[in-house]
Amino acid sequence: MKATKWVTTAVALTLMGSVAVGCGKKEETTPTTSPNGTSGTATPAPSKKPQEIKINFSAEPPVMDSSKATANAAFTFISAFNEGLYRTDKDGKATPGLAKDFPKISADGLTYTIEIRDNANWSDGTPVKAQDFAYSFKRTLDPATKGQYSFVVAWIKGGEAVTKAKTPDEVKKAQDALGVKVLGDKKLEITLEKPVAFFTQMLAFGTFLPQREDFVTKAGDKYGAEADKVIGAGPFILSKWDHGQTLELVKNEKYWDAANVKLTKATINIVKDPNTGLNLYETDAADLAEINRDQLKLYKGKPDNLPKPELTNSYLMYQVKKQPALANKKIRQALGMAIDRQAYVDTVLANGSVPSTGLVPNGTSDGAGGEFRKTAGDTQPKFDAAKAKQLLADGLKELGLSALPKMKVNADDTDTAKKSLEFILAQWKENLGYVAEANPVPHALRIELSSKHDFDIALSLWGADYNDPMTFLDMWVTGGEFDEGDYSNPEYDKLVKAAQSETDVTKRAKSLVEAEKILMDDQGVAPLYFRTRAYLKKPSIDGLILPSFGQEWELKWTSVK
Amino acid sequence: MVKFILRRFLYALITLWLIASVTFVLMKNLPGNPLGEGAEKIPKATRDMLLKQYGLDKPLWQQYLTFMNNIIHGDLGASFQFPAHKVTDIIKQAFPSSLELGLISIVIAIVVGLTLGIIAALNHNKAGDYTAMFIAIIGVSIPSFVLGPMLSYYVGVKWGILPAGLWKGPSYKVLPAIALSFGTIAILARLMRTSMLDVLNQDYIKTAKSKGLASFTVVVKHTIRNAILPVITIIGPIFVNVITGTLVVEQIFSVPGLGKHFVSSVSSNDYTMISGLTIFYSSILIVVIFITDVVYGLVDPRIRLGKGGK
Repeated sequence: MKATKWVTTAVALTLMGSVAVGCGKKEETTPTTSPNGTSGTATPAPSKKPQEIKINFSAEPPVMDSSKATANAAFTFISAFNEGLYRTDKDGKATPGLAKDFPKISADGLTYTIEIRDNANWSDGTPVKAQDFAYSFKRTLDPATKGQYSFVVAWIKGGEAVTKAKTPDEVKKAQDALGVKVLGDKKLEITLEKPVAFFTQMLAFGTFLPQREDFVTKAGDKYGAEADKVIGAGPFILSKWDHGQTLELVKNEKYWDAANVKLTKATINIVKDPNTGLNLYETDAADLAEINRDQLKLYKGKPDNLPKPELTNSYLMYQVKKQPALANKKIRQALGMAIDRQAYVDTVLANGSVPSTGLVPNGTSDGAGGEFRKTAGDTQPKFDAAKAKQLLADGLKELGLSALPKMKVNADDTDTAKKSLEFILAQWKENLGYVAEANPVPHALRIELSSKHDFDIALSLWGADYNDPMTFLDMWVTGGEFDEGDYSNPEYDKLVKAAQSETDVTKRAKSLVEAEKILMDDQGVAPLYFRTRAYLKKPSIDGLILPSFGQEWELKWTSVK
Repeated sequence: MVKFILRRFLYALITLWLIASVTFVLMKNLPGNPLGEGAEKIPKATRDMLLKQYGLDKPLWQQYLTFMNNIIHGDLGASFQFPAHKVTDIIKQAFPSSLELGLISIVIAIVVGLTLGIIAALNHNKAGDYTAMFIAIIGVSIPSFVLGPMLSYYVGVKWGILPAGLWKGPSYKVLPAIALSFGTIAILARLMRTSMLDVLNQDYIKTAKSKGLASFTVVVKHTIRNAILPVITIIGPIFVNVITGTLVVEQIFSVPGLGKHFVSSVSSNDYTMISGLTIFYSSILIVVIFITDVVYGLVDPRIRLGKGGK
């Protein structure tokens, strides 16, 4: 019995020992000194505080190769360590980046002549040349690169021929015929297949960034995979990439505008869980963190709260061929008008998203110097339960039906999408007496069903690739690649196609506004909301931009007060 | 013995082949394609071209043969999600963190769990027993997705004792390891207690005591040694589960481990990653089961004399 107690005591001591070992000493903190120093900075930082920030980031960038990138996560970093001919500023407008000035555009809107800055250098000091852009565009278009966004570069004359080339010889031949001319080391000429009014803006997009042939060749398959396998000519250098864990950006002293880059270091930690993200923010382990709707309530009205309005809309898409009832305009109008979007964003989303007032989200340019939503006004029919009921009755009468057929509404199986389905179906039941069936499915399945036009109604999201209404409006042209609901209106097609070849930007904007009005009157699709995401930012951080599309954040003009 | 090992090796290969084949069939039945986040925006012509380049336009049997051929040659392919990385590179990058977290947590679980089990058995139906089993019941009842955030919030944010998340130094590893070990502590404690009680009631223990052996010798040499056998059996599979990554704990504490890849590869139809991870996981499991058998045999010599043990 005595020995039993002895053993008990021994194991208890072991237990305590193991806990003590586990606790260890308090962790050393990350060194606060800048790894590359700031001696080369032309203008001293306005604040004495270390110009360093820490950011929570929810995703591992898949690959930092501008030819292969598709995700915002990748474009965010690529745009930090590299730069295009243009860079998007805080207002979402293109400003000269590696280009000396805005392009000289020919009268037909097809040819862009651009001069590159004399002091534009790669981070190793090598001058940026026009050849670096020509090489980048050709590489992106080469089918062997497997670039998923090559279709945007294919707007350059002869681009599509490169993407469709079957053999290396054919690729080379097509690349040689591509509408990109190097007119000297610092001068580039790009010729387009047809006018693209927002092409200057497009040149700021990640897919159009320069690449160094010697570097890409040397890195081989690993190009864009590790910190030492990327090179750029942007405000920062990617100095560290611990996969799934941490990335570090340090100031690039060779950057042409280094004098205006205050930040010396940004540490980005991959944090997927929003609760952990908030915990890190609260313990000062992060200066910027994305939060969810429940967390947002805690920060309402506080200076930390930083909304990120996006050029992203959510909408219902109707498959008019599979469900002939949906080909009836009045029925589509009834379904759209029966949803109270204000209540939707207040109850389901509660993250700062706003009810839609048309298809094109707030903040989108009209392509003529203005904002599309202000130019077009509200084009979407307002919520009106009584009118919706009447429209449904009228529509059913036109079709000789007594009731709407049973239809499924496809959506993702995420928490938000499921709640959205619940809300929409409840609104239809309450306001129209119509009971539809919810069909939440995995994201990949919803996309597949939509691309096969195999659905009744689908709840979808679309984010802009460039700041122009065309990114939202050309989707619904008859037979268009993304017209998955088979909506068709010749008037609409005419207006969008006219805008696609119009070089007068005012006339173009007008055509697009008219097109949206038709689409909204037809309710070819029923927009629901314009998305906003909620972020927390320490008030001491200044000049941090949350762009509305393409990337998560922009640090070039950021500083610590 | 050589014959036994060879036979076991052959069984292992057949098991791996079966697992790989079943995985292939199942992943090909997943909806969608593996073109990733931007896939919905890619025009159809580009999408078709990409699928052709990946060989995904070929008949299923041809894809299967290519898949098996690559595996035989040790090529798990490049990830679709992370196109510049080979699956083996991703495993090499992520596995060490999972392994480290798993090892720490299994050490905690073994020390604490066995201790609790022994305390409970030696104090059968007394305060020590009730306390130890209360802790064990809590361990089973509170899942790591509840315990993890609680530890992160209270210990990390409220009390500021340890970091609330991230994976940067020794102190960052304590909370995730505790969160991960809690369930295992409970399992081991209960198993050890039952097993100890069973052994304590055996005749040979009574004989040992009546022969006048010291209680310490009886407990350590006879009771614990025999009671630990069933525990060793279960530690193998638990060990594999723990070291190959856990989505929940890794996500809660932002540990850059393998756990998240198991889920994200399936949700993004990353075919090469799904098959690579399955093969990796199966291989570890098979090896660990084999080692468990050997260890079992070492602890109890009677087992070595069993079928195939010559």
